[in-house]
Amino acid sequence: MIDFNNVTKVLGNNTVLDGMDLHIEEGETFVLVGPSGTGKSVTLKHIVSLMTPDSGSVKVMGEDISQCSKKRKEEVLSNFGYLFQGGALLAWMSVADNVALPLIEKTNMKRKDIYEKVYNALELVGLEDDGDKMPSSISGGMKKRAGLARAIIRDPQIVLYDEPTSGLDPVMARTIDHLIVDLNEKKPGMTSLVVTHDLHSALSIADRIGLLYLGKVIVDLPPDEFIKSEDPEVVKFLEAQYITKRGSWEKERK
Amino acid sequence: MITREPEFFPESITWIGQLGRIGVGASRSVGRAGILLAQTILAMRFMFVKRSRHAIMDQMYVSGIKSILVISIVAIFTGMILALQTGIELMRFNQQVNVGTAVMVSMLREMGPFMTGLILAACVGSSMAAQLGTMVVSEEIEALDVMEIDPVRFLVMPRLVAMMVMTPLLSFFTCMTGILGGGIVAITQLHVSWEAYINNAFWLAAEKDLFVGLFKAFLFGVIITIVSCHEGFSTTNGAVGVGLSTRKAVIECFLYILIVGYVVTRLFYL
Repeated sequence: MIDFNNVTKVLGNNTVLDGMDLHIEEGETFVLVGPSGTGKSVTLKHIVSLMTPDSGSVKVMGEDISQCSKKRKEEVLSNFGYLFQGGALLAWMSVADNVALPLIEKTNMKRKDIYEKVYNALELVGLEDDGDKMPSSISGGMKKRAGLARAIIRDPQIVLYDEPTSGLDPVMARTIDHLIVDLNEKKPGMTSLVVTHDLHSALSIADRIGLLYLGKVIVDLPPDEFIKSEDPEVVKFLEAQYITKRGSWEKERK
Repeated sequence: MITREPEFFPESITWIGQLGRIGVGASRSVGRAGILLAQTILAMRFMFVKRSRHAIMDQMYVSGIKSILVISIVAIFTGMILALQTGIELMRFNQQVNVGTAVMVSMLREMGPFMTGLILAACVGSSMAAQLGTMVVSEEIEALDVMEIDPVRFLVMPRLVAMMVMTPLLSFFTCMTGILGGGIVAITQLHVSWEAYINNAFWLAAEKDLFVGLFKAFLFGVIITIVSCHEGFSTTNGAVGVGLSTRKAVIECFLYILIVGYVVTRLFYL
């Protein structure tokens, strides 16, 4: 579904991606972890063509996204949902209008049907009573949940999550984890790529976890194996988050 | 996609290198603003779509109606100053009755569109650059790109159409208010009757002056929108960057308004 082949990206004097290879299957939840500034968000931006690789290729649904025609790129992007770090809600629109925006702009649905769907999505993220509020009057966690509702409103095949739990309290972080798992269970073909440095979240929701370090995915393992990995970077990363209970991590997914 | 990747340039230690970088940066900026203008003109084919009409009306209210108070104050005092300065000189020759002509011609040809352009650049242009700049740093523009909603059609086109309509209208309003201000001075300070002032003002007023002034205002509206939106979209470095973009937008608008104002006057009057 998503293939990075030997992708290199240099920003200024900093080689962010250095011959990165990554392969994500359809219907899979892949979590990319790594320290801040290692290029996790840059990886996501390559997938939706907000950035282009200096060398190598990024293929999405079989298409080289940086090389294909504008029309084909639009077709590919129509299959995406993207949750931005801060939610990226438009400040002058209410929460419901923000969630409705992709449907208003990109479909011919009737207004009544659009808002019915919008409030269903808001109910899914626990914001059914907050549709009329403006983004400036809701908390960071609510913005993220509204952003998630907007990301899934068009029933995308691929959802990209950029730090979905950062800055949230633990209860809200686990709520977002539940939501991601629920979404994947309700829509079996949905592919998810989650970028985070929250290993609690990663171990709970992932089918596979990749550790991005110095521009490469140096470890790519299922959660049960990831937690047992003896790779020094993985060990350092696990210990930094006080995760020492090796091998018996309770997953969200049963 | 309007979202651009961050750009990095190596430090230049020689003055020639630094000069060259300024030249390349300025050329690139003008080129990108030109492309933005072309994209916005192309996007105008969607201006009669229902949701675009709403956005255009909103922008007309923000850029036009909300600027009326400040424009009225500036225009009335501009007219009063013009009348006073020319009136004092004319009084030496006992020709103060002609003050109406001086005010009318100055306002229609230059001061009306010029003052309107400067006020809109300061009020509306700065607000456009700050709003779009904030949207860039908070990833809202990237979100629009990912949702395949063209930011040029969604954000720039309604602003451009609104400014193309509102700037000439506001310029006309500025002229009339300025003439009114001049009239107040003529009556109270120069002892010219209202009838004499108005008759004199409209006696020499030419249609050409009005239309050239309105054309200038139309161009100023285009300049303010494109320069401000371009600077907004070019924002980097968070909140500091938003401040810099806003400052650059206002300074560039002022400069282009002066230059274009001169060029149009030169083309039509010499």
